[in-house]
Amino acid sequence: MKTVLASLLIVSTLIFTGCATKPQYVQSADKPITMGLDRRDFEKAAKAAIKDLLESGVMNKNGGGRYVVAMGRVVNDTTQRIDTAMLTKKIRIALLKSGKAIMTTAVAAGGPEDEMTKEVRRLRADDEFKQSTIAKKGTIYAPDMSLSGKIIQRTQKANSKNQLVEYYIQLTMTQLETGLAIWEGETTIGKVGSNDSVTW
Amino acid sequence: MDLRLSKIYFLLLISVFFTGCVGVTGHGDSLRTFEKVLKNSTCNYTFIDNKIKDKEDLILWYSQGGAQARNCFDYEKSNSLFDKAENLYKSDVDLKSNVDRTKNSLGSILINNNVNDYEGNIYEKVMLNTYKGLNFMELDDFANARVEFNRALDRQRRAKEYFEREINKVQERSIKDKNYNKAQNRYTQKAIYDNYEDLFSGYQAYPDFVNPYATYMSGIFFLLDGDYVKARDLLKESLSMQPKNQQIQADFELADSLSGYGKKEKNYAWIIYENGQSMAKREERVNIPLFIFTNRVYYAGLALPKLYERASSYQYIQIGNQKSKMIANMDNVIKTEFKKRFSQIALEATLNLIVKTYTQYELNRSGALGGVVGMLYQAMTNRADIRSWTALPKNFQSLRVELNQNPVIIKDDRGKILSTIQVDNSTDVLIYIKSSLKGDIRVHKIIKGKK
Repeated sequence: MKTVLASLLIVSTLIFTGCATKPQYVQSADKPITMGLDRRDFEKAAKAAIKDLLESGVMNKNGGGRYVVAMGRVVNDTTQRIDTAMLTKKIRIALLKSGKAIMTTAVAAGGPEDEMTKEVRRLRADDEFKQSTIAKKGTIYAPDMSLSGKIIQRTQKANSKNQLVEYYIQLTMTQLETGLAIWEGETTIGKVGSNDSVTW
Repeated sequence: MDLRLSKIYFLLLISVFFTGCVGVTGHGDSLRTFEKVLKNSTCNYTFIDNKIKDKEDLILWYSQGGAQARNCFDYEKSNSLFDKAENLYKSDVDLKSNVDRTKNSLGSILINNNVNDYEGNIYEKVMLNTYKGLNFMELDDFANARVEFNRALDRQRRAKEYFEREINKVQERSIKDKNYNKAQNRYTQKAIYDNYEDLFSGYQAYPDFVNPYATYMSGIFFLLDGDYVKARDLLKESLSMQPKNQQIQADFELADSLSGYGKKEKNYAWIIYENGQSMAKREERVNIPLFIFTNRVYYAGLALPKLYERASSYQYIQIGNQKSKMIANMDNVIKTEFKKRFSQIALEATLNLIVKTYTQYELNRSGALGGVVGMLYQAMTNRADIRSWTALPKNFQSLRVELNQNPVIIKDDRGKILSTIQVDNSTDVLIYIKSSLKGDIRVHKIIKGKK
């Protein structure tokens, strides 16, 4: 009887636990995982953009120092629900690390990224706050440049079974004093996959 | 009892056991109940919630539920339900395994298509993304609205090629059926098509599953989002479909001027009007000759779905002396796709009828009880699949007025005030009106930058 019970236990353990997929880290591979844009695509685009931007020399300020850069609008013109910050954050981090530019969060397309810069100044009339610790007037840095961009998608039939999807990740650095685009970069990502369903 | 007969009894038993009762009852009651729910506008979701709990025809009920929530101005709920329907379109329809496809085909032939889960239509997928886009606009999330309009446009691009592939796949399976030639008999076919002549002739079919509304509405979205180049391209495409449409012409000219050096000096109100209820399906009994016995023609009743027209609401709406113009006739979009699908629907139904007629013949020979069982089975399962997303309108209309008035007063086709809307003349506004029936008006107001 004990043997039967033991066997039953083993079999049921195998049945109930055997096939569950355990979580694992995504390994770097050459093959794309989805027809959409994934982490590796953003890494690739950001890396290429930052290398090109820094090597172009437009971020070298005459007499040293750093440029102040504001985030412009990055339009996601694809069929994928993506947060464009997945791309721009990587570029911002690299810009900051390069020592050539610093981002402002006080002004951005669509409203400030961090409203606290303005918010803290509203405390000026509040005598509960030690007024000498409140930011003074005329201390916020205005941006010198703006980083904007667009992600475009083009999808077409490749052959009877497959479709080709191309993403164009376009970025522009605009000098705000002149309104001139002083740097532009584009990374193209192409993927071929089954045409059985949509790319999202 | 001989072996063949016991096989038939077994098959009948298994069929009924595994498919529940929808193969017998059809879906008419559920669709009628939903129509009542949609009409009484109490925003009670119990019916939809129960349908979803049943886990049957989820694509249909998520779509209907999304439409109900949109009618109730709950845009987040609406999009959450539409999202679920869209995910199922991918996992359960586009990427369905061959085993499941064969199983469905078998179900259609042995019982009827009602036992298979609802798989929707191409125009429904396009409308799903268009409504999601409109919902996101209401939520002032223009970034996600853009994604949805891009999806709607991509679905239109895929439509022709995808549809042909889908039809080919299904037809390949049907051709292998041993009764295929009998079902395709020209007299049998003629008897079927004679009953559909009134439906399939004399209407303006749109090319390649294009819904002109999705293209036009995307164009207006891009105009409101300030992407004038894309707006111009889409409105140009809309205009090429209907070159004499004055409203599309005017909107194209606006986008064209703004995408060049034209400066936007005026603000406008676009009024999009969803009129009435789209075509729906009902069961049609067609008496057809079957040439399945060598010595005689056998006449049998075939249950097929047939589209019928439903009510229109106000013929048009007006502001001042400007009347709304039709952008797309949804009934024609539906009809175009139904016509393309019909040959397969009729073929499967005929194959189904042949199998059942054979079965009944065998059971009749076995004796009185067998004959009664066979007759009951045939009578009970001879049901057409009449499912479709019934919350869609009959047609879409548009009207644009310059914003030099506040409020904007919208009147019906008899000059009676339908709605008085306060507007801010300093920015464009999209006023979206849905009226399924006269007296039933839902007004949605969209201004970029305002929730």
